[in-house]
Amino acid sequence: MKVLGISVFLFALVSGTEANSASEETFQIDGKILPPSDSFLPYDTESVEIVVNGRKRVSFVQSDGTFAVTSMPVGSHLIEIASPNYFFEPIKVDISAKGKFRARKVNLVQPSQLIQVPYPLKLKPLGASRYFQAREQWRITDLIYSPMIMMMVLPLIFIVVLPKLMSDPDTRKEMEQMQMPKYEMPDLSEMMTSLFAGDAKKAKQSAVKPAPVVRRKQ
Amino acid sequence: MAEIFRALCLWLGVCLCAGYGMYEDQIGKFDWHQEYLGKTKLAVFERSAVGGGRRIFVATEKNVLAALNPKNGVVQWRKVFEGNDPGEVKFLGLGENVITVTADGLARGWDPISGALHWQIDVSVNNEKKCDWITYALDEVDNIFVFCGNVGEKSINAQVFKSEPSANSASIAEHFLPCQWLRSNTRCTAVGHVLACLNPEEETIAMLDLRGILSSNPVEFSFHSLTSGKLGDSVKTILGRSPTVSALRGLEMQPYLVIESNVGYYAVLEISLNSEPKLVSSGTVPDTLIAGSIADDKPYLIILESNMKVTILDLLTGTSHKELLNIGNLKAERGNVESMHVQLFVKKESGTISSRMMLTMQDFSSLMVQVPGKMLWTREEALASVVGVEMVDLPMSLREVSVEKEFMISGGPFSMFIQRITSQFSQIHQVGMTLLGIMEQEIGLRPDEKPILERDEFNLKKLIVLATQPGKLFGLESGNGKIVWATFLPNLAPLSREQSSIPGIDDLPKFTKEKILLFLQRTSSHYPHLPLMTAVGQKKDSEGGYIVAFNPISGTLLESHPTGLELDFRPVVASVIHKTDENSLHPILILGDDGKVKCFPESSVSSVYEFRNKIFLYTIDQGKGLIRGYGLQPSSNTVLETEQLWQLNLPVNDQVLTVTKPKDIWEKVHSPGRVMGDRSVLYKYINPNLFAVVGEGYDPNNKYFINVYLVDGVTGQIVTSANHKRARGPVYVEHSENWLVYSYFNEKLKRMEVATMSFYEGNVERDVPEISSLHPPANSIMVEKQAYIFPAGFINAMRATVTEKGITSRHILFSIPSGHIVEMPWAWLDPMRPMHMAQMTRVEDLPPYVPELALPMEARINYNITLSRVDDIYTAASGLESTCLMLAYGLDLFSSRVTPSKTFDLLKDDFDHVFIAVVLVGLLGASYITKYWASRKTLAQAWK
Repeated sequence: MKVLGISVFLFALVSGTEANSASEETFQIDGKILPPSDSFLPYDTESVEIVVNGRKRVSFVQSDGTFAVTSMPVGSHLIEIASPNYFFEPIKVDISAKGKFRARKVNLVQPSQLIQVPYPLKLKPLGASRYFQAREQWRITDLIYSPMIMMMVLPLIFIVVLPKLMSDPDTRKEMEQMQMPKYEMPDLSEMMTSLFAGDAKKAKQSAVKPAPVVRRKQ
Repeated sequence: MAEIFRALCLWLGVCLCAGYGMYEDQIGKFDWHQEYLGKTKLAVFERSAVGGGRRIFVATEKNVLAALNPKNGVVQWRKVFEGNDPGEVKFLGLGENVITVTADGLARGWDPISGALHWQIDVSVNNEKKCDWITYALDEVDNIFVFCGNVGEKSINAQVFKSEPSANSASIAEHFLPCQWLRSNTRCTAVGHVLACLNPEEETIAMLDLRGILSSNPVEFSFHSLTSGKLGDSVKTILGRSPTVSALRGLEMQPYLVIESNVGYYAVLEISLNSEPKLVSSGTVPDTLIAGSIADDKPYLIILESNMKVTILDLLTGTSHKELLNIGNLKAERGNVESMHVQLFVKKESGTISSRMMLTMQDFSSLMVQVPGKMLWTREEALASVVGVEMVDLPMSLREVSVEKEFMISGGPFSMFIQRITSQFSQIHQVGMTLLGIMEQEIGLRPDEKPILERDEFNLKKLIVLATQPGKLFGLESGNGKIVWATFLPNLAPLSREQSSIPGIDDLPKFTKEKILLFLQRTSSHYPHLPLMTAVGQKKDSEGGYIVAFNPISGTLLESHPTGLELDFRPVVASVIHKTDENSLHPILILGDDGKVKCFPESSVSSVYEFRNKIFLYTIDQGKGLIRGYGLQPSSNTVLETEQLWQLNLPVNDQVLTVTKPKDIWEKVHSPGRVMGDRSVLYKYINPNLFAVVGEGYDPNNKYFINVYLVDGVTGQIVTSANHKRARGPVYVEHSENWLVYSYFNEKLKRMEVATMSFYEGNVERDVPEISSLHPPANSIMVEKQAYIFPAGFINAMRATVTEKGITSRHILFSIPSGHIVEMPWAWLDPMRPMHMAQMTRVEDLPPYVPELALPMEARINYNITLSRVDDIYTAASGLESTCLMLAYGLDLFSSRVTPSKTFDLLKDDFDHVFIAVVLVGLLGASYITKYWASRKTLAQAWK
């Protein structure tokens, strides 16, 4: 790991000084774009561009997928592949002063980490670019599991199914047996009147007097 | 553990960026894209067997190669070379392939139909630096000849390359030709099978057979005098006026040599190796253009004089045919014709010759004209060099204007009442008409009408005003990109920047972009005043400033200054004043070098004088690192004068101040503070007078560095600064609300980084609600700083979204070299992103810090429409709070809508109106039916 780190440092040093020396040798970076394996889509190499060092150099891809970036000075160069429909991994190519090439994966967070890739470059798209979100589609399961529907369906069951159960004489009997204990709920109006009309006892009494319950003959 | 943490962060990030992403069915709904090429430099017509062309290949000054359809001018394919020097197209030829040679010495063969690259060979001369000139030529079998002339050594080096798909870069033949006659003003060109060199001093022409070079035998030049009696005086006059020599454009393979003087005199000579040159045609009328073409296998010469007289000369018989080109007022609309390419046709029925001309105009446009007077198509190539953008609200509709009118009637209550009734009636009428109108449109009764320039309900359609490099102003409809108006102002040029280059920063001056400043002085909502926009630039070929005021909706120039206003000084800074004068006009102040100031329009001097205590200006000397602040105290009611208030010296080593970024003066900030995790409020430091200055330099230890300063424009105080060692530009800065974002390239770690700062006053609310630079907050300003790794090789442009009220969260738009525009939520760049997850003091809804930013595919707002060479992005608020309009310009124009917090104030575009209506009606019906049933049931029960 340490050795690798030092070598990268050397490369950085080399690239740092290249700007000053006026006339130096230039090299050619070669590579090939491979077609995506998973599909047999027409692969339009016309739309693929090789972008070097943030468009300081641009190269185009020939019909067979090969490309060459000429007149590259010694140093470390970032190769990005601009394609409207596929996305590629960027690659760094280091050219040493002796004209040796080394290609490696780009690791922005830990630039000292070195994962070499073969040179001349063989670049394969990582996949088709998906720029769009999928539209939400209407599915029956979505409807069933949605909480609103649940909230509507359950009371419906209670309303429709429970009275049916009640009509069954056995269950009815059962229900009567397990009747809820009755709680004496205080009547609100009664409370109010008792509160405000403390001395008007007559009124209270008349109010308290149970009203005759009218029951219709069945 | 760290992995898990990182994954969690990424996941959180994904959740956060759920704010973007468009649906596939939205393609082209809100966005449009236009491809441009730039001003045509070289052009070749493709010829088909029947005569007439199938394609036109053009190479432009923007280093672009493209194939155009000659019938409609549509781009069939386009190849964009490097924007800087190596991409310059030096040679364009058409053989079996389209062949280009660029300045980096690469010859490429392109498929004429698809634009696919067939081959690429290196034709650079080994010792290219010693070449005083390089001439390229092509023969019938697509051999590429490269001639390199060296005046010092008095030699020409000739090389021949075979253009084959599998060719290695070695030349197939090379000759070193000593040429004692070579002078510094000798110019050579390839004409047919001959290399012809013109020696103006000796008045001779030297010729060399190209076929001889291919053989291994030694080759020699043959010389012919140009002063022999037969050629006459016309050639002599041209030779005295720094002549250039070229092949006859359009007839490169024929033995016709053109000698042109610097003023447009010309002579066409027929040359051959063994005989004296023969004068075919000559002209001494200035600004005459010539071109050649073949029709019916016969060569013709076409001469276009500046008075639009066209002469078609048969080069074999000498018969000529004259016509007058009549295509409207071309000169006023587009300036002079700068170059011409002609294609001739022989009409089958009559046998007469008709011609089509592709003209390149002074305003960079390309026109295809059928002689005598039919315009086939135009391409506004000036739009490839936009130097100023502004978006303007469209005027209100007639209905709204009638409402406005109501309040301007002065009269008794009765007339007011009448006005009210009539306006309301007209409103009802309008509603009815629009309803009918919609129906008519749906039936298709109103096809292809001129666009109605009227504000829509949400102000989503605006007018984009573009100022371009040749001085042409355009008005484009933002909805579809159609050109509404265009005005050519030949005198308007972009403001020149001081270009002080630093050793080591070779490409720095290129990034100080030229600009024409556009100011909206009056919007379109001040009926009955017309809207007014002003362009501030420089007078062409002079130092003085130049101001043009125009109506941004119609493009007509202001009547009081029909030809623009010239200034006697160079504008350094121009700014628009917040306050309006009595005509609801925002005055512009233009500051010159020595504190000279000018107010436009002059009539509003008095209103500027009123606010003189509140107006502060500053100038920046880029090379010296000097910033000077000026006030308007010594002004009088009629004349504005400035005094220097402060001076700030930033001379660190050899730095150049490259970018200045003041805040947008119309910016609205919704919230003055932000809520922290412990429920306390952190108040933002929102001072509108702040501006950011970036200094880029190269120190003696061969290290690049960047300094970023945030300066108060009123007091000249540096609020904060940052220094980045081993970092270089170009730096892009975005400054808004209480934060600053800037990007730079980290030289040490070889990656792009985006750094952010945000400024806070503290937890105590300020006593004075008014923000003033003269009353700084009691405590020192809190500055939060953070830097992030940007995972793209470069950033071409950076801009933040803006919305109407500033409530919607902000996104930053980045243009990356793959041709995409990526939106990134500000929350990702926020310097307060916490280092640890469970921190009580952290700000709500902020993801924890991750050094690397993500650029998901869904965030690329231009999906698979890749944009070439984006210069900048412009953003404008629409009438909808959620929606921001954006325009990316450069070689292409791309406009779209950005919704940083999704369209929370709009129904989704897939909202099912029919479904909701059916449900409503159904529920209504059901409730009536159940009511009926319920009453029946109670009735039945009552009867029991």
